[in-house]
Amino acid sequence: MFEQLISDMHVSRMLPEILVLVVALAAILVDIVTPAGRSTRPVQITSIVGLLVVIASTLFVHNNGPAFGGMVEIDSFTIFFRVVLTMLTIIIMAVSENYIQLVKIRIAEYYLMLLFALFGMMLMTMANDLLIVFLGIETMSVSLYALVGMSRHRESSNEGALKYFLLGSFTTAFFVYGIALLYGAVGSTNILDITVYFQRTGMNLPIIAWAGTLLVLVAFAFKTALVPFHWWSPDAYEGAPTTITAFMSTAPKAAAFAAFLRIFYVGFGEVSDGWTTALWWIAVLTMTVGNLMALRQDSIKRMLAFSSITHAGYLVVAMLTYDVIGGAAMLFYLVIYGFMNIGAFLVAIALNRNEDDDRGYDINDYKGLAFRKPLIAFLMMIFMLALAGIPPTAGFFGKYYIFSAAVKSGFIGLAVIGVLNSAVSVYYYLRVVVTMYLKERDEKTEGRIFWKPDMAFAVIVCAVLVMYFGIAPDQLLKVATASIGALW
Amino acid sequence: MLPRDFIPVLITFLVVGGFAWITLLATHLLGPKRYSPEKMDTYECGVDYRDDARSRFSIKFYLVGVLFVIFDLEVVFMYPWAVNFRELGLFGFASMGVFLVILTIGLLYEWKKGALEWE
Amino acid sequence: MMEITLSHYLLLSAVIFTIGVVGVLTRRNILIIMMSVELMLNSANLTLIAFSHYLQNIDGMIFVFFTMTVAAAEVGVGLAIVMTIFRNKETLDVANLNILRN
Repeated sequence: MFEQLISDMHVSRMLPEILVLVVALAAILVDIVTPAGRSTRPVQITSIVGLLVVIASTLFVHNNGPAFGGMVEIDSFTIFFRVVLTMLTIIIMAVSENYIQLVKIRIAEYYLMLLFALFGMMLMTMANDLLIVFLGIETMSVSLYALVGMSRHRESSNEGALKYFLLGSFTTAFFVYGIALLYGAVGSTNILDITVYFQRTGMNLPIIAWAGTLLVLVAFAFKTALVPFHWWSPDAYEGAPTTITAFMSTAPKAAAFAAFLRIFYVGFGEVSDGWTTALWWIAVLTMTVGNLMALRQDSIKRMLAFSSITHAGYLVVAMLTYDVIGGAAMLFYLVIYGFMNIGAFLVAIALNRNEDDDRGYDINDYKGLAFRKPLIAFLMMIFMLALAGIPPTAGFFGKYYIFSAAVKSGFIGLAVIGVLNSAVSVYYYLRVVVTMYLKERDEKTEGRIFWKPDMAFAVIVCAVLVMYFGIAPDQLLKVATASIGALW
Repeated sequence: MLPRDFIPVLITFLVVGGFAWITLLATHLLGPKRYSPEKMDTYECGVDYRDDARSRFSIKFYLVGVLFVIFDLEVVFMYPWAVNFRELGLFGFASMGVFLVILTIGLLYEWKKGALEWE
Repeated sequence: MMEITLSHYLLLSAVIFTIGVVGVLTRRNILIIMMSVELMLNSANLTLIAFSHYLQNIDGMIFVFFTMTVAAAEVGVGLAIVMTIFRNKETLDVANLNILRN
């Protein structure tokens, strides 16, 4: 009995995850041997080099299949997210050193928590068992709670972390309770067993299975900040150090959507009529509410926080088509959204006037930026156009694929609402561009600009990728289609 | 399960609770009562109390508490492992070895960061 | 004698879960909110154990081990966050936390 169990482990299939863990432990040791009070640069370099090795091992070592007795599944879907999540984490780490010196965080735990969060996210993308989904979500979330509260002396950071933590653990309880009910109905937490169970029952489910599915849906809606479960996100995003805000609005969201996709497409696919109805309403609410809130913001950081809710709404539109085209559109959008949102947040950091990073994201600071710093203004314009979905940026193709997939699957009403929302969002994105290019310079609002070489490099990489995928989207779409195909 | 199966639990409750109550009651009823200012003091042995018990106490207790909770719970994973130690063989031994190495690095971290220093 | 069946355990855990939810929603003290969340997690654990016993399947019990450890880690980080708040604001009442709009 145990021999069988051990031969089903296939530990080597999880090489990248093991490497992330090794990098994290190595970073801890580096931190320990660094004398107290010194720079965290050694930890940063260890982490980034380690993560580059992780990407290499993902791309060059092919060893697909189930591991740990079927609890995780390594397929092209997993590999896609492994690469994307690791890349986003590397970008954030690369720009962090100067930033955390600026805002006086100055502790190596910042990088360690990012590494642990990455480990949790990678577990989520490969999880084939609700237990692993749970462990992945928690490893990620607990690290994120700590990251949001990293600026210990700043009250808004404390407060954002507390709200995120309280609401997050509240949802965790719902998630575990939902899993418990599903386990009672199915007799297993494995997603393949759940599929078999739903094939047998069809839509004629006992009440505990419905309740369990609903609670799991709520937990995912919370983790991806969908309306009406989004209340934590603006506060957590505003309170967090801005590099962490950029991270949280992209990588953990992508990981949560990956687990969401795998569980609902593979596990709950047979009852898709049930959850697509719920997601239809959630998508409409998420797009609209996020937009209406973003319209009213004068702070760039808060505007981006609310608009990330809207973007999650577009992703849900793609998800509820429940076919390969919609799924591929979703993966495509997750990647390009990651780069354009991180780029926009990094520019916001560069222009932040306040030493303490609390306020100082006012849109008036951008007045006449194009005359003062033409390069930064131009890069910001690229990100704003991409977020608004205007060609020739990648944002246009992202939205085009999503809404055409929705129309093909017969969700015409939803596609119309989505396009209208994205037209509304053009207003607040272009407002930034107009402020930068058409407003007079205002000496009162001009402060120093935090534009270090690492920051410039990361922003330019993001901008180049956003433009590249806008001009030649086919390659990425092909990869996305192949990856989502693994779920069928 | 029948309610009958829980009778031993009930008996335990009764014995434990009963012993406490009977002892308290017996000392109260049987003991002689001669009060003096000394005896009415909080600590009869002579130590004067200093201030209210509901004051704030040192943050060190909190840190030790958190560290204890985390290390305490890791033992949960060792019980099932220990029960099946022979059947799991070398693989099981190596797995637990890895687990303990990770924990040790955590402990090393705490130590070097000074979380274990009392003063 | 009446038999204690699966449904009794489920009912009990549902009641405890509801008490936890109400506690989180109505209490204003951070520590009591955290205790209510623990109550919810433990009621989920009770459900898992009850089903595990009923189905004669060990998976549920293993899940409980992991829930317990994760809850401990979560409380560890949560208490650290509470400490930073307390150092800055000297209060544990969520109503006093209102720097961030909404």
